[in-house]
Amino acid sequence: MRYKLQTGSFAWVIHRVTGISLTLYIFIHLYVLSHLKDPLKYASLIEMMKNPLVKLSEAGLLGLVIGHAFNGFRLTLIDIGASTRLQKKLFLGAFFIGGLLFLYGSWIILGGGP
Amino acid sequence: MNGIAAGWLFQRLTGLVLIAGLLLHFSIMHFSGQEQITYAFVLKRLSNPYWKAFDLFFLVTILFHGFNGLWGIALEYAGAGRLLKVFQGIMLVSVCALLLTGIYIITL
Repeated sequence: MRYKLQTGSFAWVIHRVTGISLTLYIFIHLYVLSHLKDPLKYASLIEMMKNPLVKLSEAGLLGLVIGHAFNGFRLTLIDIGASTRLQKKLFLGAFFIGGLLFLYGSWIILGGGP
Repeated sequence: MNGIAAGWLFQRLTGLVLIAGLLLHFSIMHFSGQEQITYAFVLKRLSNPYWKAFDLFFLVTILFHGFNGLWGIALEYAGAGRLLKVFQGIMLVSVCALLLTGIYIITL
């Protein structure tokens, strides 16, 4: 038997993958933050953040967060009683709004804005 | 309400809290300009008791949400035998380690 990959199952896979990645990211995040005590170490970490590869992965992280947050919000709406017939529309709505936010945020992270 | 239903409910509630918290986090740390993340500024913010309370609340919320999610995934894939116990052990140790690390950072 094979699943037909529809909007719902696609969203489900994305939610899993982004969720697992973000939980693993907590380890990295707290490890980096645990060096806050030392100003020199902090300066070298901030210097590392300017590396284009790190910037790109930061934009990727924003993508993971936005994808997970918007899909999770959509799930919550359905859980509290939004009609499942709206499922696909909600997904497309979340996809477009989330996509715009991602583009805007990445533009700032990559050095385009404030 | 049994444990599974409570887990489901709290996963939703913490999710909503995290959306609000992350919005704040991203706007301050990433979208407010470089001077917001200088060493002095970050330490000043860390020493504010309100921010400490927020950080602690945020830490507990995110750890619950992340590991409650992983817990559910482990229940789905790891069967009911020793493998599940191993995963659950790793998750419990991880949560404790991350919580302690987080508290250490907040109390800097």
